[in-house]
Amino acid sequence: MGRALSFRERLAWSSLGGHVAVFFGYFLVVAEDGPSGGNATAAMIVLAGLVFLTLAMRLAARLEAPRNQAQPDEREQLINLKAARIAGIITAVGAGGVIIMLLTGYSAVFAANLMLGVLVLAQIGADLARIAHFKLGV
Amino acid sequence: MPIENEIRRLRFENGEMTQAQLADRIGMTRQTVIAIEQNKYAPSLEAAFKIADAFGVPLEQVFRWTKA
Repeated sequence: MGRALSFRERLAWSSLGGHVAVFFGYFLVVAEDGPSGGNATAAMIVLAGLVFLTLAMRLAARLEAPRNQAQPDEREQLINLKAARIAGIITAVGAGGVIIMLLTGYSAVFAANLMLGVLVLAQIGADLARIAHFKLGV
Repeated sequence: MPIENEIRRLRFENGEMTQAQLADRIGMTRQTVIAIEQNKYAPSLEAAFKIADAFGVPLEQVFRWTKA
């Protein structure tokens, strides 16, 4: 018998899909512009998009949670912790790389775009980790 | 996982209790009950006691630790 996805597993898939859909096109443009290009306004808009998407997901988790799932249970909390650890590692490594790029003369706008990319990548990594743990076990 | 359990058998011996009913009684999601039952998640001590309490049996009749 197939296993129905839990509310929070569905949320992880939605978050993953949302982030990929919102940011894929933007980062294609950034990659085409290359290190010398960059659009600070677009970067700020996309950063706002990232914040909005994060808040929307949290709001959905609070408002749409089934009656008995208002709070994550212990397994879901453990999965969230493991996902946050993955996101933390990606963010730390990425931020280090961005700092090195800044020190070696890359433009601030390009570095800001890269940092934004790191944050999105961290979120995607966390979502993938969540989905993997939901499917394969903790 | 070195911890195995008898939850599936106990559910059926307790009036064919569903996973959802057990989940409600121990305050967890059905998916977590499924994960425990399939040995994909080892519950906390508190959750393990709650599960045993739901079946009205001692903990060792629900969970078994296999030495690696």
